[in-house]
Amino acid sequence: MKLRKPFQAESMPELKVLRCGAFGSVQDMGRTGFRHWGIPVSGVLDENSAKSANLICGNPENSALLELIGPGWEFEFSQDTNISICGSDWHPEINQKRVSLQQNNEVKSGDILTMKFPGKGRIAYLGITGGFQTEEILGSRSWHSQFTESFILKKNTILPYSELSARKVDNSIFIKNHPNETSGNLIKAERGPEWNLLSHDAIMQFTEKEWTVTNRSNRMAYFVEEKLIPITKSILTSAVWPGIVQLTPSGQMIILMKDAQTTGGYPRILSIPQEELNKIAQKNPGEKLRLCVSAG
Amino acid sequence: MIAPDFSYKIYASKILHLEWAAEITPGQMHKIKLFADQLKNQDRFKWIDVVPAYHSLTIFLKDPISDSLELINSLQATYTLISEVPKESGRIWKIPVVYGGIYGPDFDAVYKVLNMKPDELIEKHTASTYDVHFIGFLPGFPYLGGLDPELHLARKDIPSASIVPGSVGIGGSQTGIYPVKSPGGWHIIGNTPFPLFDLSRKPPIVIQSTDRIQFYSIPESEMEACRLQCFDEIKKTFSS
Repeated sequence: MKLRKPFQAESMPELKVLRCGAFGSVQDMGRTGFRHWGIPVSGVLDENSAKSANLICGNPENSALLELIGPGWEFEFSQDTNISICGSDWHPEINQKRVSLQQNNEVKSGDILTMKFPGKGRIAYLGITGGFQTEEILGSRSWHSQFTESFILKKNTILPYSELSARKVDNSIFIKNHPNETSGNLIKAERGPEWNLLSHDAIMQFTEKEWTVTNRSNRMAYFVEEKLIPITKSILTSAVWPGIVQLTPSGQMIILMKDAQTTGGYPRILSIPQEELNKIAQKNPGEKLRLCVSAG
Repeated sequence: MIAPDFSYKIYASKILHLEWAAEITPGQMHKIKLFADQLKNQDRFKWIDVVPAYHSLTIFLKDPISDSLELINSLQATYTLISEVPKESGRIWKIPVVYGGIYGPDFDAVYKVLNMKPDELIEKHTASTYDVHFIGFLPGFPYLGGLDPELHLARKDIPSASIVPGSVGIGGSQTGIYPVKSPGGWHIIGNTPFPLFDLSRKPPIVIQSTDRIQFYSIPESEMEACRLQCFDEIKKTFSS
């Protein structure tokens, strides 16, 4: 086993990013209460996996954790703590020893965590006991380019975390339903505010078509490849929220995610509840969705 | 007493979306703002966010709605308590703008396509007092009503990839200010040093729904002096 000297910790324990995947950020349950100022809510894309990761390592659901999009990560811990990994399984190893998802893992000062291999799902969450102690802006630690100094994990990024208290983490917590096992490609959606502007032929497309997630998909919105018959009527700008599906004049469907703007002017044809949005968040580009629309 | 004239629908069990007639009027703006303020003051609505727009009010609740009928009844009771729609507006913000040049990259194209002289464009843009209907799209971005119909201009076919903070633009029947860097499809005719969004300030966003905005033209040389003036004015307003 390769031994590495732990980097020098200052006052607070720190996690150091040694290698990066596609996109990583610190997130919690979001920046609520400021939407009337045009401030997006932000926060974790897959709430189900993130809440599990926090609960398993003894945290309240709202603690700040790492949201990692795509595999290829390597981290070093400066001090002893407990961690948990939920969401996508990228074959995590601590000091080259395989660890499971959905469980509490003890790490020691100088330990190296890797999450290297592609697997089912798009996002993994790394929870740490006590949560990451990065700056809090407007009541949230969620990273966003408009509000926080850092907004993407980079090589050598250093993140402070809480010192391990004497209180022991309850190792018996085990969240049964692994999110990726229960997520098929069927997404339940409600009719959105402008559903009635869709033509009959457009509505029929929902029963027939599958929708392919594109690689443009990010924390603001997920996009699908296939086009829907567009709406010709224009509407007044009004509130939008994560889960709203907008339809552009070219027939592009935009599924709004947590970093989406607070208001928008495209017709809102669907509203997808958070439980279903958790599943969409885990879809990689190229994966398919079926949208099952109910009256809501 | 006013009769309920809005429709409602519940989304994702926690989002209550109310809509009025699809029109942009100061009367509707005041009515929605007043209703929003009333709702926020009532303890029984456990709200997280209340978001007004031109013709809608969206209430994000903490818990799933169990009894929608009861909720709607109490909403309507609150609504009918608004005895009359007040015409009273909030603050008037005077916004200095450097028109044209490097500050307004689309200024020349805009006055030409509108068949005006440069001064005419500035005159018309500074003549109106604009209503702030609501804030959205970007942190602190005011949606303004009251643009002179002679200045209406369809958005750009190809949006600009990056518009700098402070940019004053025209898009369709609207005019507005970009508080932060953003892509956008509006024609940029000038730039203001007025800080619409500043996280180091409390509150970070000072312009509110039902406030009013007046633009005035300043020469480029006064940009920095006006910036300090704006800071002082905001500070004075919020310390008193």
